Amino acid sequence: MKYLWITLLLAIPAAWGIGSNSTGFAQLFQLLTNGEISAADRIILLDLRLPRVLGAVFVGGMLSAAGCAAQNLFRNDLASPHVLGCVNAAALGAVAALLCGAGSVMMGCCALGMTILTLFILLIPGWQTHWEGSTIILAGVAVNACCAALSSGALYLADERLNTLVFWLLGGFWRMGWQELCLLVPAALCGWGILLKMAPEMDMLLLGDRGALMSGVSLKKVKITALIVIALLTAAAVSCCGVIGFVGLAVPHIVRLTGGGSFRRVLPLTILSGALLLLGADLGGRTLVPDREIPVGIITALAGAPFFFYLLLRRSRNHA
Amino acid sequence: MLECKALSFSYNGAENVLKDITLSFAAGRFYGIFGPNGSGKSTLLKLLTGELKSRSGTVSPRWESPLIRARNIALVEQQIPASLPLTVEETAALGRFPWEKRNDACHEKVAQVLEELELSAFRKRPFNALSGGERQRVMLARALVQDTPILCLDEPGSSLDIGFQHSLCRILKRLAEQGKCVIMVSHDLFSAPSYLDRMILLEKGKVAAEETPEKLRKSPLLRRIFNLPDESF
Repeated sequence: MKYLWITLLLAIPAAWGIGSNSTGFAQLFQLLTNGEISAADRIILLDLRLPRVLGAVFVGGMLSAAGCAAQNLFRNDLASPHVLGCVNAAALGAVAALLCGAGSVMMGCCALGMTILTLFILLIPGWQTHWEGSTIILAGVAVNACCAALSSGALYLADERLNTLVFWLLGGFWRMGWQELCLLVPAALCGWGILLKMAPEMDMLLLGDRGALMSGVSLKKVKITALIVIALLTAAAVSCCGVIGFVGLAVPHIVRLTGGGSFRRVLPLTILSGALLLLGADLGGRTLVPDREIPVGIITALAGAPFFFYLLLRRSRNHA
Repeated sequence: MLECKALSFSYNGAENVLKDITLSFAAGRFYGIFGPNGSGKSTLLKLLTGELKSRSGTVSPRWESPLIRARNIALVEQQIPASLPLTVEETAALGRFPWEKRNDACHEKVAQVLEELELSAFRKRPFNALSGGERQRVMLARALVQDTPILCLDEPGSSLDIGFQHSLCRILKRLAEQGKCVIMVSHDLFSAPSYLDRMILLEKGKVAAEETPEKLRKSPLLRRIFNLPDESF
């Protein structure tokens, strides 16, 4: 944990100082020491790069925390906000708002609205099956397919806005500004805080529904609260930066494969690791190819998947 | 301590799984509930623990909330979790949940229970690295850390070898002698009865007998219900 904190605290100024243009560490140093810098450098450092860096940190932490909670909640290694349909639902809401020419606040509201609607749809079979995990996940897969189809339909109708929509759906932090951060930060702090407070209940869920219930856990209350928090974290993240896959699924696994333990210990490690992963992916996305930006979703999948595969192989070797 | 009167139960309005069951369970006793498959043993246990609600008959006391129930009844399930990303100590500490939500692995009660169940040497070992028998002992430790006057076990020995089954029964007998009411659903008619205070025999949802193990083993009822040859006991 200590090393992750140190790495993150070093990575933030590093990512702040590195970019595709000439504005770099010298200008950043001057800015931080109250030196004179040009108006253009000030705008790049304070209004473009800093919100982007902070956005990557918060979104990484939010998506990985949502994945970590989903995997505990359903005791299923494949559970993630994506599998539950939350990501595509939020994307659908945001795409609809984007098509109507709405601003970032409206996009956030539409993403959250669609995610909550999805959540209610998931809760219907959940209610009838006493919140049995596989039923909710299967319902999530169905909702996911439906939302993905509707998003594709929106792309079909997008005309000249197609490029913007496709780029947005691939995920990236190019839209991130202080206004978006004002939506992200309270959602992240609220979601993380609730999940940390629920850590004992989340651990009890590992015993299975019967075990948790007989140990005094109020299953309905805990499951509904956790689902709402997952929806909130996902919707806020997706509305600001589009669809970024892999983080929610893989980061909690990477943390468990390298350490593991109770939810109270795994959650902060997952948040920090997710933040670092997306910070690195965003830095790579905006610097690897000159004058072009690679969507973050592509970087996370390309760089993260082989590493995840390596960890799985290492675990298999240890178990053999 | 725990009793049911004229208890009947059916799943979704089908034929009654349990019919007119009246039983009482006292502190300091070790009870075993036996019967062929489908005789209603696990359903009876679920009604006694309040997991299922009956429309006919009563179970007392009735617990006001899951938390109050968890302070009075602990359950060891037949199914052991396939995977838990916790150490032995952390798993046992989950039993503190009804009392304090900190799940503090260093709790005095956790250390005491692990010592009692001879698990202290394993306390830092990952749960997933344990054998089936050791995992079952850890799940028992979690239930004991819950520190309840009533302990229920739903076929706890089904994944254990004969040595572990005897060892488990010795532990449960000792707990009953210390004042707990221990109720175990079991299929083990050969090793468990020698540790029990009372045996309850179910047949087709009814109580066929409630006796001491010595008396029941001599009666032809046991052999008839389980369709066993005469020389079985």
